[in-house]
Amino acid sequence: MFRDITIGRFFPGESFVHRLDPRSKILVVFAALILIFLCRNFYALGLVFLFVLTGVLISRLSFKLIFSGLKTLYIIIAITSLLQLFYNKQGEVLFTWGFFAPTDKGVAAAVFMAVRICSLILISSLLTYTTSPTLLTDALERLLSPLAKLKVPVHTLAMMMTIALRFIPTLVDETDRLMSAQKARGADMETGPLHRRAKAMIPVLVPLFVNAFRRAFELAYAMECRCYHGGDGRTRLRVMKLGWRDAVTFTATAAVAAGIILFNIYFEAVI
Amino acid sequence: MEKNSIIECRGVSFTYGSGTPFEVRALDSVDLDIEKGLITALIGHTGSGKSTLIQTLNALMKPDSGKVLYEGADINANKASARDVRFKVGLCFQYPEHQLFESTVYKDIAFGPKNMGLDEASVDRNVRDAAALAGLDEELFGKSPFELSGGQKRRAAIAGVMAMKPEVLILDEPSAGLDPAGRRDTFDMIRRYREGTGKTVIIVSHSMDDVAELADRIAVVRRGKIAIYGTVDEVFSHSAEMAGMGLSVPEVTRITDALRAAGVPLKHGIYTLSEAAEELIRCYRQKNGGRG
Repeated sequence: MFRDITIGRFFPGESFVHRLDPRSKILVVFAALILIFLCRNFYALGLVFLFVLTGVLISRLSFKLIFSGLKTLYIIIAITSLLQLFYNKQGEVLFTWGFFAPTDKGVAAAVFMAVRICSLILISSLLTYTTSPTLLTDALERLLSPLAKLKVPVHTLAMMMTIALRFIPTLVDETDRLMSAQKARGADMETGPLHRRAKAMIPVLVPLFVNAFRRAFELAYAMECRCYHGGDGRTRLRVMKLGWRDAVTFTATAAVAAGIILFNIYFEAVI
Repeated sequence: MEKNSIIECRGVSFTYGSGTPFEVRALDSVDLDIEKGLITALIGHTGSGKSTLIQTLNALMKPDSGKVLYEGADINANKASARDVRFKVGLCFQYPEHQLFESTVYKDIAFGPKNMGLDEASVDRNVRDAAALAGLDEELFGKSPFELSGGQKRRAAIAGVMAMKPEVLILDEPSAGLDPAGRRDTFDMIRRYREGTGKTVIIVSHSMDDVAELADRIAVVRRGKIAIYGTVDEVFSHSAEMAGMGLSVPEVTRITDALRAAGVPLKHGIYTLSEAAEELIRCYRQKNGGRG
């Protein structure tokens, strides 16, 4: 059941997006998130949506995959849009049906919200789909390294994050396996009232925790055996270098940002 | 000869992650009959599909296409049949000691029988029977399963499945990660179960030595298909074909084959240590007898 979850997963590839420096990817995604919120009208939003779609296209990930990631969030998108239809009372009323009286501005706002949320999800999943978790935390560590001067334990935090991310698939597989094993012994986790189903999870959760601790100790021993002693004086296996791809991406992002600011000034705001 | 099959697979296929780049076809229209009362071994490499196959046998995984029949009835016919079959086909996963969870050994072994809805007396009887098969002393009943030794943990976990008294007991790599003594204890336990109850056993393994020692029938699984199926003699007579799959005959067979090639008149088809010992003694006596 857990095998089909794609959110937050990494799909290896060789595309332009895959080969971007992970630091630039983080910065660009961060900038794009801000830009998406800055958009005030459809022209600006359209521009940023186009930017996101271009990213998806050149990443050569299948559309089916990308949209299956959106699937779990359809409900959130639907609710947000519906709220706009119900509560946005500006503009002309299109029709009335009981207390449901959507206005033209309400419809526009609903569409606007849906596109905005889609863009947010697409751009952030693009980051995790095309960047391995290790590279991602590595890049974060480097981006945050100035904070080390303020005595923030950047390396330790990054290492903790790397380990946590590394063990998510392991724990997911393990949960899957434990659930199967207990089901094979007749455990019933799918039927019955909620409190009974919660209780039925105990045979899964207890060994899951026991095994997680066992693994943590093993990992700690293994790291100590290899003389791991934190970040001081450690050199790196992969040295990150910015290249032409990063220059192209930064330029494109700057252009989109300029476009959005212009559109925001020259066109009427929707929201 | 009329076969007496307890489980029949008919064109069973299964694919993981269909629609994602990680799509893997684990089973490719498998046909397999498990004969009643015998020990069948599934052998094959990591990723050959053997673990997936056994999970389709007790309805933990529903095949994408094809049917699994238990005593002639489709086990995936409805939800109730899928749950029922889990008590008839007991599946013990790899490293089963990692699934122990109760506060005492007794309670852990009783988990399965209790889920079956048995009354207290029957649960107690099943637990004691299973523990006896597992060679676990009743003194251990009150202990936490986490305090046991590695081998004991393994046997307690297997006892947890045996306590359901399944008609078919499936064990995935029962000897993985155990020392020779733990391995012997586990095999003795499986043998006792089969001899004591006459029930069907399926073991998954990649060790030819294990398989030769225990099994009546061998199914070689390769790339989601059954490549070879037959008795131990039949399967190991395909030694060239097996070598092509990166699987070899048992170590003792290789040694006796080499001895025969060097001129020792040993018979063909020696798969276990005890057979080899008997045969060597016979040869030795014959030689001495000839002299004397």
